[in-house]
Formats: sequence, structure tokens, C-alpha cells
Amino acid sequence: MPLTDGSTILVPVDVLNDERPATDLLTISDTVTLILLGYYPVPDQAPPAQLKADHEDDAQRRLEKLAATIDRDVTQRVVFTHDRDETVDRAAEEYDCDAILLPGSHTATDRVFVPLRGDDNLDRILSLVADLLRRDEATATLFHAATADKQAYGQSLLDDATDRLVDAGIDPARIDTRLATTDDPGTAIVELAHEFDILVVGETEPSLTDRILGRVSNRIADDVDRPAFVVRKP
Amino acid sequence: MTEGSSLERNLGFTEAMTLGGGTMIGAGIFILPGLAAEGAGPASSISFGIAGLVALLAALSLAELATGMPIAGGSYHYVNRALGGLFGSIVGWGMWTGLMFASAFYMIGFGQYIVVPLPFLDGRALIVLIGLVGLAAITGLNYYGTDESSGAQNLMIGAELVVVLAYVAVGVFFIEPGNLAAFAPTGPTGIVATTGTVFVTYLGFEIIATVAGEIEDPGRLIPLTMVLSVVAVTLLYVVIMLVSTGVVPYQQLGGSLVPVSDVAAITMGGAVGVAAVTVAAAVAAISSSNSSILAASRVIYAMGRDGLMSDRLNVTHDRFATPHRAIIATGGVTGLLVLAGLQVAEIVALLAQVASFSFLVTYALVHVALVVFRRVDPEPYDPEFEMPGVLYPAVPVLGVLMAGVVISQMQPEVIVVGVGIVALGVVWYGGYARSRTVEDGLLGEAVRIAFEPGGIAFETVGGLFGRAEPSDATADAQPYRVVVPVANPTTQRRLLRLAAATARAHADDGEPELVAVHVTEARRSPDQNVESDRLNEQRDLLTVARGVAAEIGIDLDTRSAIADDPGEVILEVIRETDAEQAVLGWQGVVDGDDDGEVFGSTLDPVIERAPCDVALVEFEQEAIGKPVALVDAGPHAATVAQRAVDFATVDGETATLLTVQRSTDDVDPVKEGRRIIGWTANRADLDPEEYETEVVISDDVSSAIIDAVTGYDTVCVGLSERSDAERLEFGSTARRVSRDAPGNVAVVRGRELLEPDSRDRALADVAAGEDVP
Repeated sequence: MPLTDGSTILVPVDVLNDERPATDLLTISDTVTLILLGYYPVPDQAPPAQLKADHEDDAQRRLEKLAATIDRDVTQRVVFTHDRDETVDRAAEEYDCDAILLPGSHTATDRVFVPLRGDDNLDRILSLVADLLRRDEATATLFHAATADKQAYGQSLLDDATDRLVDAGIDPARIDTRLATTDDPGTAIVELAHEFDILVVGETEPSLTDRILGRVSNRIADDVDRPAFVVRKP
Repeated sequence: MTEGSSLERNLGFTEAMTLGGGTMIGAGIFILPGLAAEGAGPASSISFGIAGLVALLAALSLAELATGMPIAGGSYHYVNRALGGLFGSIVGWGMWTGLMFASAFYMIGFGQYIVVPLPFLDGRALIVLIGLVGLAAITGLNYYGTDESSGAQNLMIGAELVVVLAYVAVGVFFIEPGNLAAFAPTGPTGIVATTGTVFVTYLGFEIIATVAGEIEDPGRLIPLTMVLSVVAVTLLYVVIMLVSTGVVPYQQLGGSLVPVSDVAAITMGGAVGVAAVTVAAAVAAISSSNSSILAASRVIYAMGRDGLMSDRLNVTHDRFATPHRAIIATGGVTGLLVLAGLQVAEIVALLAQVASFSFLVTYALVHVALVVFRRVDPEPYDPEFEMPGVLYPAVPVLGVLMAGVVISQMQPEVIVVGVGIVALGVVWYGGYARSRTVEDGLLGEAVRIAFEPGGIAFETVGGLFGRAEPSDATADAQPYRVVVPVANPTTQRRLLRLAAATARAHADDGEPELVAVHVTEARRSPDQNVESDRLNEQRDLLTVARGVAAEIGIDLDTRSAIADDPGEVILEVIRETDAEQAVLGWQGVVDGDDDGEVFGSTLDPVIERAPCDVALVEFEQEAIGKPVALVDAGPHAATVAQRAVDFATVDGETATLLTVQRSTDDVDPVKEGRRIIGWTANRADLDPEEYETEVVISDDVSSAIIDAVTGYDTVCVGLSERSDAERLEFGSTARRVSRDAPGNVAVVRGRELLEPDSRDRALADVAAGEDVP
């Protein structure tokens, strides 16, 4: 199946604390559609409407300021919510997003790290990787960690993924693959991730909330501090 | 692309049950058994049953109202809408003070459970001190804000529930039938009096209504969780009272500060049981007190939204985003009430009864509010949950009666304090709030309907969310009404002046009257909760509108509504007020805006279908000044001329009727132009001295028009150049004028259309044209 162009990416932004994801990260690919979700965290003590009444303009302005740094049309949405994760989940559903961008403080964007778990969700992951590789300077490393007896499957997974990216018009020289032998893929991913700038990981849990708090992406956010595109399950 | 902003509903079934049920169980389970046993012996289980029934009745009425208007504020909000600001103020203050009294009650109970079991601690002062420490901790926590607390809250309430269930399950085996022999030592009076004390526990389900704006799937979950939590908690309390008084004789239980510990010492293995109960009691007191503070800040917020409370109290913290002032105020007063425990021996029972009093009054008014809503049936009120037919009006009637009976058996000092709180609400309304609110409520409407069956008129369009001021116009003459939708604070004053002038210009046709309409657009899912945050704007706009009308000295009627489709509401108001004209503000031409809408989704239906003259006015400058009407062959030319003459009265000018003619060989273009103007003025019933005439000759009509109108302050132009009136067509000249003319532009559409202009028209018209020098 050929890869589809133009992933849709949800970018949650905390508009209370004026958190700003790096602009470089948002202009990383011209073919993706960006949804800027400015969320205003509402404590239990206040009804969302109260904060909306007080801070709607602030929140809109902050999000607009961010949107203005991106040199193209983006969808902006401000939400006042008690529960960030649930809101992200709902918005991703509503806008039919392929991936969610979790912020990290690392600013370079050239080297993309793509741990692949299996055939699951591979189309979406590779489509996004192809989008990211449309820039000349970007390179991607496809990675699979498996136990010793599963190496053959791992190799075929990586080869197949490479072929599909090449079919989509990506220069093979910019695609690297690595196959690791380990019993603990999570740790291997976290260790290796430090060598790269951004990550593209597939959703591991059925629910988005679980996934955002879930093992791999959580460890990446905490330990690696690289921005990560978490690709949703279709 | 900006998609605006929205509010999220994050509370599901578990959260709502925990908030409601959890508060109810925690509220009294560890303290009330002692008070209840003292008041009514084993029969206090009946007191809980009665209190539960009163609560269930209130829950049914509240659930219907809450699904009709699921926004923050709970009972306060419904009573304020239905019965107006006075009762809103009574209920708002009642709920706020009730929650503070209840919170103080929990915290003293907290102190008792910590102090009494520990042998080295003793004394009332210490109980009060520990209560204050606990309160300070909760207030501080709420000041800084919590967002992941629901997990912890669920865990705490889960643990508490386990202890309570174990207490019941084990306790059943220790019941001594002898203890229950004297089942009702104080008789029916004592049972009812005790109901007044234990009712404090049923504040919990109100909290569900208070956060109604944040509950998912409100139509299903609000009634479900309210009714379910009331029924479950009532059953639990009935059993707990039977077990407690069955294990320990009621006289002994009644004298104890820690009744549940006393019972647990016998049934749950001594010290272990006491420790478990102590921890559970502490957790329960904390979580109930916490919920009360959360609910209190929402009541204060809702009151602020309606102008019943100072906005300064509702300021949210810059960093923590909490309504910190409201929280501090609630915590501070609660602290004073806890301190009162130093002086007043019976403090716990009194706090409980005052809180009960406030909420009994509140629920009684909620029942009345339901009756009012059902009677008036205002348009935006469409509850997803409706009380089944057999229960209405039995539920509200019984609810009010039972609340009265319970209150009548309370101690005199409680009644004094309770009435004092009601008086506070009344005085507050009279002294502070009255001048600031626009809510008159639906009560007057309901009464009117009661006396005039079937006589419900157009007031309902706005009745729910605004007030319908009856006009002073006498019934014998139909007023000349001009409908003015107001939405933009910067232009509404000019719009109203313009509308007033045009209404007055037709004073011969009826007493001039304006109808100001404000429609808050309800954007549906996921942008819920619009009602709450835009009511302020609505109130401000309509208040200003009244001010302007008073200034000009014209009758003004106001309508407000929340609707999906503002255009339809405006049309409805036009139809129902039988208006002669509608004057609307308009932003002007937006180039490249090709979304199938001509003027925008609100204006299009109005201009297309309004059964009256319509003028869309785009304000470019302050003064209306000297108007000019572009007279052409279009179907609205007479109305255009008429409007220009009307508008001229604003600044005492004379309108000019202008036409641009091409030079042709067969007719003298000047003559032809004068003929057309004269004919049009004749159709519009204008006297020659009411207007001036200008004929411009040019082959480039469009540019000539722009040049010609540049000297005027306000340009009136017909909607369409086509005779095809059925189709909404802006027309290229009108579009160009709107875009390029420096002055104000009014696009006019007449109710009655002229026949297409033709030079073969009646000769009499030609004569009229030739009269013009």
C-alpha cells in the first residue's frame, strides 16, 4: 500500500504557562496539517467558564502569537479543561489526527529516530516519517529491538519499511536501519534516543490517555527530553 | 484559521457519584449518629428516611432543571432564572452560608474524632484548634489549586466506604434487641426535629447540580447520579442508625462525641476498629469540607455572573487559576464558625441545623422554580430529563410542604439564624444587587399566564434569559415598532439613535417603539456552556440599550435569547412584535468571502424573509449627517428614498435623492432622471420639500455613483438592482458603494416591492417628474 501524503498532527500547547514549542519543529514539513490545541488547565476549584470569561483573550492571543511564527495556515483551538489528557484525546479524535506532538526542550530537528514495534500502525508511522524526510537535510533511522530468535522478522520489518519509504520518493541514502538484540526494547530505545533529535513512536496502548502517560512515550518525555510524534492507531 | 475556544466536560459517572454520594456519606456518617440518637433514639433511622425523601423530591426537581440548563451554579441558578434576583440573592447567600456552616460542622467533627480517642488529648479548645488546622490545610490546598485530585478523592472515598460497609456488616451481629425496644422515645416530634439536624448530610447531591456544566452526557448522568446517590445514601444511613443504636444504647450514643468509634470499639475488635473509624472519619470530614468549598466558589461565581456578587471576589489567580478570593472568604468565615465552638456547647448540632435550614429553603424555592419553568415553558428550556407525569405537580408541592414541616420543628435559635440569612439575601439584593442585575425572572410571566390561560405572547422568546419589559404603549393603537438587534457595543448607540429617528419619522403611523434584541449564539458541541460566559455581555448590551432609549426618550422593549441560529430568533421577534422595520448593524463587504453567504449567516435569513422593511447599516463615521438615496430602477427604490428621509431627521438635515443617468439620444437624461426621482418619491409618499434632487449624467454609472455620494455622510442603497426579488442578490453597485463610499452605508430592502421601472409607466408619473425644476 503506498504511503499517503500529509499527516495531520495535533500540537497541544499549554496557554496558561505560555509554553511554546520550538518553531523549527512546527515548520518541519510543509505537507503536514497542524492543529494547534491551546489548552488552559482549569483547577478543580473553578468552573471552566469562569476562567474562560477571564482569560479567553489571553489564551487566544498566546496561541495566535505562536501560530504567527509558523509560516502557513494552521487550525487553532483554545480549550478550557479540567483534564488535559482527555481533551487531547477528544481533539485528536475530532480532527482525525495521525499523530500528537509531545514537546521536548531539544531544538535541533535533523535526525529522526523511528523505533518500530511491528506491522501494527506501520502505514501511519511511515507516512509521517516520509513527511518529515521531505526536507533535504533530514535523515531517519529506523530501529527495531528484538530477542535473538526474532531477528529475522526484525530485519524484514526494517527492509520492508525502507522499501516503502524509497517507493514514496525518499532518497535511500537518508534512511538508516538498526536492529538490536535485547530483551528490554524500552531501555534500548531510551538509550539510543539520545543520539537523535526527534522521535516518531507508535501508540502502544489502546487508549490515548494511557499512551500519553504510557511506558515508552512517558520515558522518552522524562528521560530523553526529545520532542516526540506519537502516532495514533487508526 | 481560528476555531474559537471551548469548554470541556470532564466529569463522568464515577466522578459525579463520588462528588455527590461521597460528600453525602462523608458529611455526617461519623458525627450524625450521636446527634440523631440523642434526638430520636433508634427511630432516628426514620428521621434519615424522611430527610432522604425530602432530598429525593428535591433531586427530582433539580435534575429536571439541571438538564434543562446544565451550567454552573446549581439551585441558585435555577431559582434566579425563575424567580428573579431577589430570590436568587436569598438562595445564593443561603447556599453559600449553608455550605460554610456545613463545612464548619465537618471540621469540628474532624477535631472530635482526632482528639477523643487519643488519651493524652482532651478539651474543647483542642477540638476547635484541630478543626482549624484541618480547615487551613483544605483552604490552602484549594488556594493553590488541585487538578489530579479526583484520583485521590476516589481512593479516599473508596477506603471510607469500605470502613463504613464493614461497620454495618459486622455490627449487625452485635445488635441487642433490647436496645431497640424503646424505639421512638421522643415520639413523632422528636423524629421530625431530628430530621432537621440530619438533613445536612443531603447537601451532597446539590453539588452534582452545582457542577452540572462540567458533567458529561448531562441529560442522562445528572438525574441518574442525583437520584441514585440520594437513595443509596438514605438506605445506608437507615441501616447505620439501626446498627448503632442496636449495639450501644441510644442514651449513651447520644452523649458521645465519637459515636461510631464507640460502636466500633465493641464490634470491630477494639483498638483496630477505633483506629479504622478514626482514619475514615478524618478522611470523610476532609473530603466533605473540600467539596463544600469547591461548591461554594461555584455559587459565588454564578452569583457574580448574574451581577449579584462583586466581580472582585471572583477574580482568578494569575498563576494557580483558582478563584482564590472566594476560597479565602469561604475558608475565613468557616474558620470563625469553627471558633464559635469555643463558646457554644451545642455547636455541632446548631451548625448542622442552620446548614439544613438554608438548604431546605433553597430546595423549597427550587420546587417553585420548577413549577414556574413548567408553566412558562420558555423556548430555550428543554430539559432532557422530565419528571414523569404522575409525579408532577405532586413532587414540588410535597417538597415545599415537607421542607416547611421540617423547618417548623427546628430549635428557635436555628430559625432565628436561618431567617437572618434569608434577610441577608433580601438586604443584599435591595442594597447592592438590584441596580446591577437584569434578571427579572419568569415569576411575573408565570403569574400572568396563570390569570390569562393561553395568553402567552412573544415574551417567551427572551423570557428565560432576559427580561421582557412591557411597553407603555396603549393597547388601542398599534405602536410603530422597529426591531434593532444589538451585538456590537461600539455601534449599538448609533444604531439605536438611527432606529429611534426612523421610528419617530413614522409617528403618524403609531407610537414609536424600539425592540432591542440580543441573541447569544449557542455553538453546540464541543463548545458547551456558552450560556454562562456570555450572559455578561448580553446584560451589558441591553443595559446600555435601555440607557440610550431613556436618553432619547423612546419606548424600548428588550428581548434576549440563546439560540443556535440568531437570524431565526430575530425573524421570530419581528413577526411576533408585528414590527414595521428592522434596523441592523453590519460589518460591511468582505471581499473574497465566497462561502455562499451574502451578508453572513445571521443577516441573510433576516434580509431574505423579514416581513418588514430592513436596513443594514454599516457605520463608518460618527454622524449620520446628510443622507443620500441612490434612486434607480431597482425594486426597493421607494423604500430607499423613504429611509434616507427618515435618517435625515437624526441631525435635522434634508435628504437628497440621487440618480445617475447615461446620456442617450432619445431622451434628455436630466429630465429622465428627474422623472424617475419624482416617480419614486411619489411612490414613497414624500412631499417635494422633504427631499432634494440630484441627477448625474455619466456613462460610467458605477464610478459616477461613488464620486457623487462622496460628499454625503450616509448613503442609502437598494438591496438589489434586479427585479427578481425572490433571490437574495446584493447587486454590484451596492457592493461597490459599501466598499468605496467613505460615509455610512445603509443597504435597504423594502417589504413592498415596486413594479420594475419602465419608461412606459403611467403618464401621471412623468408629470410628477416634470414638476421638479
